[in-house]
Amino acid sequence: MAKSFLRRFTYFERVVHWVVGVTFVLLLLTGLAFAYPSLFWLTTFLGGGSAARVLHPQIGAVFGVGLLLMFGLWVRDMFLDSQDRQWLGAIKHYAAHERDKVPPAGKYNAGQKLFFWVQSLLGIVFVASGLLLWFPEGFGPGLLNSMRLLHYLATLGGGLFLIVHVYLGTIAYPGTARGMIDGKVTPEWARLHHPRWTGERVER
Amino acid sequence: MSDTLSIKRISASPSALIPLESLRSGGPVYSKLVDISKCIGCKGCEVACKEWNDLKVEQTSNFGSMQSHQDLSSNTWLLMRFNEVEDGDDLHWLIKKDACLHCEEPGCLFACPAPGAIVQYQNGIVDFNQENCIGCQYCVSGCPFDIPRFDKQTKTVAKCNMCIDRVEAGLEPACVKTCPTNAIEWGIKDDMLAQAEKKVETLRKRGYDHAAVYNPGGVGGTHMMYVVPHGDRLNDYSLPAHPVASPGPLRGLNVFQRIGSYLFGAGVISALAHFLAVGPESPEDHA
Amino acid sequence: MASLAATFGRGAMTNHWKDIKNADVVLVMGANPAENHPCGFKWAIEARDENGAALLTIDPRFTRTSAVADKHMQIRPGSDIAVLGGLIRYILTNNLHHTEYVQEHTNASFLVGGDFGFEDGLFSGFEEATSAYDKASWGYEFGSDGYVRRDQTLQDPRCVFQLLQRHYERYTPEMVAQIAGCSVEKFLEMAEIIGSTGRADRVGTIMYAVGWTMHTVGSQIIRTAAIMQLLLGNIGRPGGGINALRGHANVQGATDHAIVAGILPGYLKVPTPEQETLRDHLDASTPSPLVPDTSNYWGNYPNFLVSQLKAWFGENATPANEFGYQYLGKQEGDATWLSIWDEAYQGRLEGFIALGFNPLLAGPDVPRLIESMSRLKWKVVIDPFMLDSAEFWRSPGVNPANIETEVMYLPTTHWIERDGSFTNSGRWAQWKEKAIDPPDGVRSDTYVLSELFWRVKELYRQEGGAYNEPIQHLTWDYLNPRQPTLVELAKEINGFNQQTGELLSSFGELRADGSTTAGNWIYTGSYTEDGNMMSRRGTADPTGLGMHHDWAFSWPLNRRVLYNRASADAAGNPWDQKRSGIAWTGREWIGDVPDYGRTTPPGAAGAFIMTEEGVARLFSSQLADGPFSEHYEPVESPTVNALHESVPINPVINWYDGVRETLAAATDNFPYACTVYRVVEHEHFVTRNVPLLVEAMPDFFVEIPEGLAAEKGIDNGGRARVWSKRGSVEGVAIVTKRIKPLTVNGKTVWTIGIPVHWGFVGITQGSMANLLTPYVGDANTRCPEFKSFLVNVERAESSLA
Repeated sequence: MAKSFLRRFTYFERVVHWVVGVTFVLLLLTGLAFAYPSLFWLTTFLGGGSAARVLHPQIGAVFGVGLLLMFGLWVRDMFLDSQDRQWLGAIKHYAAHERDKVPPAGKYNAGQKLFFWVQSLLGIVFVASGLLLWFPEGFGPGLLNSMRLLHYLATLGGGLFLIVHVYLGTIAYPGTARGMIDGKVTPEWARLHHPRWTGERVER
Repeated sequence: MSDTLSIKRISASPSALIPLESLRSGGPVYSKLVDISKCIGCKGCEVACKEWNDLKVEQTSNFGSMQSHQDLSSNTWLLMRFNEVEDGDDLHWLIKKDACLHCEEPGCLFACPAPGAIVQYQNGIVDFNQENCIGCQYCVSGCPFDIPRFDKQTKTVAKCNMCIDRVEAGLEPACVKTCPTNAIEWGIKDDMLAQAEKKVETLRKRGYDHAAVYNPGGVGGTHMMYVVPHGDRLNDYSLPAHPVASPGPLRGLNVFQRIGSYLFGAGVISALAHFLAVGPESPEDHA
Repeated sequence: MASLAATFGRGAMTNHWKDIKNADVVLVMGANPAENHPCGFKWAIEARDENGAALLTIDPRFTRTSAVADKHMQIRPGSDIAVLGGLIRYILTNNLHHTEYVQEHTNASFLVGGDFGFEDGLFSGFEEATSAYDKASWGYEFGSDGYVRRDQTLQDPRCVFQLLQRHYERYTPEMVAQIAGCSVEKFLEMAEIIGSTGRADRVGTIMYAVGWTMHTVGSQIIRTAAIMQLLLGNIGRPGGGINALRGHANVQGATDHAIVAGILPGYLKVPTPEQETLRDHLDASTPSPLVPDTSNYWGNYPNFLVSQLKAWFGENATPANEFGYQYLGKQEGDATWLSIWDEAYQGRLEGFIALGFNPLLAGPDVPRLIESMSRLKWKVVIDPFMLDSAEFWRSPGVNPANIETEVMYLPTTHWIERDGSFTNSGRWAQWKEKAIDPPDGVRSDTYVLSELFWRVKELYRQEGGAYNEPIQHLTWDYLNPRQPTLVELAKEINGFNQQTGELLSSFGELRADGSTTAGNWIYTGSYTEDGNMMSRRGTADPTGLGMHHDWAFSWPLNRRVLYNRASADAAGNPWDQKRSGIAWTGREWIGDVPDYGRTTPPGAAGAFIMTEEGVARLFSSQLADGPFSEHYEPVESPTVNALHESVPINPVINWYDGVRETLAAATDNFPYACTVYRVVEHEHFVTRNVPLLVEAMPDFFVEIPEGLAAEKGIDNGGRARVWSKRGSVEGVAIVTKRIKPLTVNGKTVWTIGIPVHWGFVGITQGSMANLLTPYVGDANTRCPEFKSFLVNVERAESSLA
C-alpha cells in the first residue's frame, strides 16, 4: 500500500536551506576559531588559519546570497497572525509537550517565524559588518572595532538559535528533518505540529 | 644576548591577558627616544630601515611635499611625515618619524586572533611573525597609532620590528645607527626617560613652553618615545593625545566573548536537558 | 675661497666640524647644512642643546635647517651683502665690536692712501673701458721706514677702522629691510643676537656654503661676513670662525690639490707669460712684509714651489734648468668653468675630459652648454655611472644627427671601491679603506690616467711634438708604473728629503735648493716616517673642545683651528679660559698646534702669519671688486639697486659673448626671483642610480609660495612650468608656506625654488634646473650666479616625463 505524504519543501527550497545551513556552520566554526584562541584549531578543517581567514568571508558571501533567496522564498508565510501570538503566550506548554494547551500552528509556528525574522536581521548584521571587516581599507579603527563587536554578537545570537533549531529539527521532533531532506512529511506529523496547514498531498 | 628575546606576550594566547613571567623578566627593557627638536628630516632612518630589513623599493611620486610616501606600507615601516603649520607670524615645519611605537600594552597584540602572530618580548619589542599571521587585519584597527599595514601580495601584516635581529646581537636599530644628528637614541627605557625629561627641560629653557615627553599611559607607555617641542600640537604631529590599548568596542568584545562562551555551553546543555526531561515528541505519542 | 685668502691669508674653513659645538651663536646663511651637510650639522645641534647656543638661519627659503633653528629670517636671493653690511653697521654703531681684538689682530689701525674713495657705487680707480679697477689707490700709506703707518687709537680718518665705519654707514636697518625684504624688527632681533658675540666670553660662528659663493658678488659676500667676524673677535677662536662647508666628501681635498682654476697644488700660483724665469715667478709670488712684526709665511713660497717642481720632475729638475720651471704652462687669462666652455663655444677648444663630475648638469645655461659641447671634436667622460654629459647629444630638444662630437665613456671605480683619503670641510684628511670590490673589468681613475700618460708619452717619443720635454721628464716613480697606488701618491704629496730618502714631517723642512720634494706643501706631515697620519683614529680629547689631534691629519701641521694665535690676547692669554685655543705659559704655547712657533713669544709677530700685514685684513686690495664689499643686485634682479641706481650690478664682472642677450630685460616678463639648491636625499648626480634614494625623493619639483600658486591657479601636487629667458623646466608643484612674499623697494617680490639633480639619464629623470640659470659669474672666482635669477611660472597641464 502506497503511503501518502505531504509536500513540505520544494527541491529549490531544500537546496537553499542547506546552502545557508552548511555555510553557516562553516562560518560558525571558523568564526569561533577566530574568537576563541582555544578553538583556533578548528581552522584546520578549512586548511589552517590563513586559508580559513580567506575562505570565511567568501563562504560568508555565499551565505548572504542564500539568505537572500531564502527570505524571498519564505517571507510571505512568515507574518504572525493572532493565533501565532497566542501560540507564543503558550510557549512553555509547547516546550513541555502539552499539545492540548498549545494553539494550532499553520505551516510555520510562531517560533519558526520568529526564528526566520531574527535570522534575517542577524543576516543583515553579519553581511554588513562582515563586508567592512573583509574590506577594511579606508575605514577608521573605531568603526571596524565596533563591527567586530557587532559581528560577534550576531554570531552569538545566530549560534544559540542554531542549537535550538537543530535540536528541534532532529531529535526533539522525529520526522521533522525529513521535510528538509526529501521534502516530505507524514500527515500524522503535520497534524501534530502544524494542524492548520493543509499541504499538497503526494504519493510515494 | 639572546636572553633579551624572552617572551612576554603572545597573541591569541592566555599570555595576551596575563604577561608571562620569566627568569629574565628583570632584564633590559629598551626604548628608542626620538627627539623631534633635533630631527632634520633627512630620511636617513627611512632608507636605513628599508636597507636593513630588505624592504622592497616602492615606486613613489612627488605629491606636493618633501615627504616621500603618502603613507606607511608593508614595505615602508618608517615614514618621515612633514607638516607646515603656521602659528601667528611663526612657521613650524613639523617633521615626525612615523613608525611603530612598541606599546607596553600593545593594542595590535590584544586584537590579534592568530596565536603567535604577534609577540611581545620582555625587552619591550613587539614583533609580527608573518608565518603565523592570517591576514585578518584586526591588528590594524587594534593599533591606536595606525601603524600596521596589510600586504595584499603576502596577505599578511607588517610593521617596524625594532630591528630585532640587530637588538638580539647587541646592536641598536638601523634607524638609530643612521641618524646623523642623534635625534634617535637607543637605550634602557629608564635612562631614555630620564634623558627625555632633561631634553624637555632644555627645550623649555629655549622657549618651548609646551615641550613634552610622549610616552602615553593609555598604552602603558611606549618603547619608542618622542620628545615633542610643541606638546600642545600633538594633532599636527599626527600623534593621538589619548591613545588606548583596548578601545571600548574591543573591551566590550572581550566581555561578550567570555559571556558568549558560557551561553553556547548553556545552550547545548539546555537542549540536552530538555530532551532528557521530555524526550522526543512524535505523532505516535498522540496517536 | 678667494675672499677668505684675501682676508686671512688662507682660503679654507677656519675651524672644523666638531668645533661648531663650542659656539654661542651659530649663524647659518648661504647654506643649508641640515640638508647638504647633515652629518656635520649635528655639531650645530649640539651647540644649541648642550651649549645653549642660538641657532639662526637667514635664507630665501625656510629650510630643513630652519626647521630646527631658533630663529629664521627670510631674505631675497642676492641680498646677502645688504644684510651682512647692515650687521656690520649695527655692530659698529652700537659699539658691540671686540675692541681689543680688532686693535690687536686686524688691520683696523692701518692707514690707507689718500686717493682711496668710494662714490655712487664705485670704488676709486674704476676704468670704464676695461670694466676693471686700477688698484693703485687701494694701497696703504707707508712711513719713512718703508712699513705701513698705523694708528692704534683707530681715530685717524684714513685708518681702516674709520673707513670701514664710513663705508657701511649707509646700511641702516631700514635700508637692509628695503633691499632684502625682511622686516626691520626681525633684522634687529637677529642683529642683537649676532652682535652679542663681540665679547671675550662669547663667541659666534658662521656656516656658509655655495649659497654665498654662487653669486656675481659671491666673494664679497664672504668678505663681508669675514669682516663682521673679525669685528666681533670671532676668528681663530674655538667656537668661532667662518666656516665654508664644502659640497662633497672631498671638495676641500680637491681644491687643495688645485682642482680650481688659477692655482697649483697647495695654493701656489700658476705662472703667467710675463714671468719668463723662475726668478720672475718667485719674485712676483713671494710677498714682502708690510710691517716689521709679521711672520709673512708666504715668504717661504720659493721653498714650496721648488719642492713641488722636484716632486714632479725629480732628477730632471735641477738648478740649471730652473728646476723645470719652463715645463709649466704659463697661463694667460683664466681656466674657470665659464671661460673653458666659452672657449668651446667660440670653437677654440678641441677636446674635453670630464673626470668625476657631470658637466652638462653642473654648469649654468644648459642650452648654451649643449651648444658649446657640440662644438668639441671629442669628449671623454670618466665616471662610475653613465652621465648626461656623456649623452649630451640626446638631450631633450637636440637632434643627435647634428652633432659631430665623438664621445667616449670610460666606466671607473667609485670611491667606495677604493682606499685613499678624503679631506673634509674642516681640513681633516682622513684615510679610508676600500668598502667593496668594483664590478669585474672596471678600472680605477689612476689606472686610466696612468695609461693615458704612458700612451701619450709613447706617442710623443715616437712622433715628437710641442711640449715633448715636460712629458718625457715627468717623474712616474711607482712600483707598478702602470698602476700607481694611492699610498704611493700620498707619500709623493707629502714629500721626501732627497738626501736621506726619508719622508718629511713638516713643511718647515722644505728648501728651495732642490734637496726636498713635496707634491703639495700643505700636506707635508700627512704621511711621515711614523706612518700614515691620515689613518690615525685616536679619540683622545684632552682640551674637551673636540680638537682630537690624534685623529687623522689636519692641514697645516695638524692644526685644528686656523689663526689660533688670535684666540689669545696680546700677552698670550686666551680671551675665554673655557674655550682656549692656545695659551702662552711663559715658555711655550699649549692647546692646539699653534699657528705660530711653539716657543715664539706672544709679541714676536702678528697672529695672522699668512698675511704680509701680520694681521687679518678688514680692508683688502686682493679682490677685483673692491677692498670693502658693496651690495650689487644680481644680474637678473626684480628691483633696482636701492643704494645706487646708476651702478645696479657688480661693475667688474666678466661678460662672455652673447650672454647679455640671454638675460631678462626690464621689458621682459620675468617677475619672480628664483634660486636653485640641492636636497638631502641626493648626493650630486650619483644618487639618481640608487633606488632607495630615488624612492625617498623621486621627482623633479618646483617650490612655489602659497599666495603665488593661488594667483596662478597652481595646485599642490599638480604641475607647474617655470621658465627663464634661457630655458624652461616643468615639474610637480610643491606649494609651500615656507616661502613668503617679500616687500622689496616697496614692491612685492615672490621667490621660487628649484632643485638641481635631475637629467635624462638614470632611474629617475626630470628637468635640468640649469636650463634656467645665467651664464655669468663672480668677479673674482667666475663662480656662476646659480643662486639668483628671474623666471616666470604657470600652471602646466601636460605630464612630460
